[in-house]
Amino acid sequence: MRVFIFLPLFYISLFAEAASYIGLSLESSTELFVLKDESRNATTPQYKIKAGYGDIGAFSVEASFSYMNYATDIFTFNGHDGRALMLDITLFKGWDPGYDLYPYVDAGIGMGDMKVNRELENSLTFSSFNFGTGVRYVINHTYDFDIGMNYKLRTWQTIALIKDNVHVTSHLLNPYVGINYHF
Amino acid sequence: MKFSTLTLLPISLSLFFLGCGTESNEPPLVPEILKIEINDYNTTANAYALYVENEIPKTEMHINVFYSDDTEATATEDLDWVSLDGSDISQDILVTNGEITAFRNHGDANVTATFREKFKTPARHVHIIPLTKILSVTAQTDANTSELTPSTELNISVPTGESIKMLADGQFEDEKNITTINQSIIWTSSNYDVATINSITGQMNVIKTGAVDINVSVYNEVNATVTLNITIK
Repeated sequence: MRVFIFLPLFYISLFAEAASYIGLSLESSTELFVLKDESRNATTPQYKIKAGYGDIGAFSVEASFSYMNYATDIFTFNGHDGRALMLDITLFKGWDPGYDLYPYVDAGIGMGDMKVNRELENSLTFSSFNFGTGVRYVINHTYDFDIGMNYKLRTWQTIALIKDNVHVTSHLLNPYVGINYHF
Repeated sequence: MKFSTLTLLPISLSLFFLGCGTESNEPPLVPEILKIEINDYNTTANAYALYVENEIPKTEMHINVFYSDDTEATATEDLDWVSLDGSDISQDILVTNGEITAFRNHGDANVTATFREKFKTPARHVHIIPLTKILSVTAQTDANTSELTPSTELNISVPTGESIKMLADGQFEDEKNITTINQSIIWTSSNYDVATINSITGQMNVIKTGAVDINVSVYNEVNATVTLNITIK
């Protein structure tokens, strides 16, 4: 019974200064694609819109939708790989050491798909685990700037090559900047 | 002052990030399938009308897969093998994982393999090598084994209640022999008052003393008859 009393209190304490926010961020995604013993690097800008709720000095949760336009030759034989759309859900743990700065760490999961031009596949899906760290600078009660670094381990859809199925994984390192509007 | 500095920082970083991006013209990291072909597709694949493990092997085909990175691989599984008449398979043969099984004593088919309806091989012609004759029929009891050429007689004595096992050997068109035919074979007895016979296994049950013609037929096409003069001891 105590659990049922304390859990809501704990929840309320986590979001004691909870507020909603929406924001934009721009990321430079450096991605290392790995297939068996081979690997290849690619750098692609990533654009993200996000919406979150919580206390940036404690816990907050964020959903984000991202767009990348790959110009790489990872999967596509004739031409280039195409756009990728991603949805991520991320949990943030932040601190309030003062000076209007709010450092944080985050972890989350994501999924998405990417347009490719292959004989057997028009698009490839992927899922990812995300980890990151960063700091927000609160300008005023409404806006904060956000700068950070995010790592994603991405697992791509199995690709059929008749004789074998191949599994590509990729490691993304995304430095980013963003701005958030709180309400 | 502090505000303007901290505002300019993300704007500068944003402009920097916008300038990032890799555009390459390398071959893809994951190779593309260019085409598939049945091995030796410009030759005829001959398959025997009957299969006997360790004696008459099934003819095997495989496909060669050609990739964009100039590599090749061979595969037999996960392909749909179809005949060119449009049905799933011809009435004469079945191809499973590249292995040909004949369903008739004569026949030809043009076979292709497809993968997810996207890749299709050129056709390969498959010819069934027919069984042309029964070489001998063997009557086997617990005590004796007697081999007869077709259209001959055998006097045979069996104890009451004992059965006789009938076996047949044959020869294909290319003069390759086959022992103990056990597929597509039908045994019949001319006189069920004297002996009955299991049409598939060739197992005879002797009922009374007398003469009986035993006929063996493969694919209803290759036949032989022997006469057994049976005496019950």
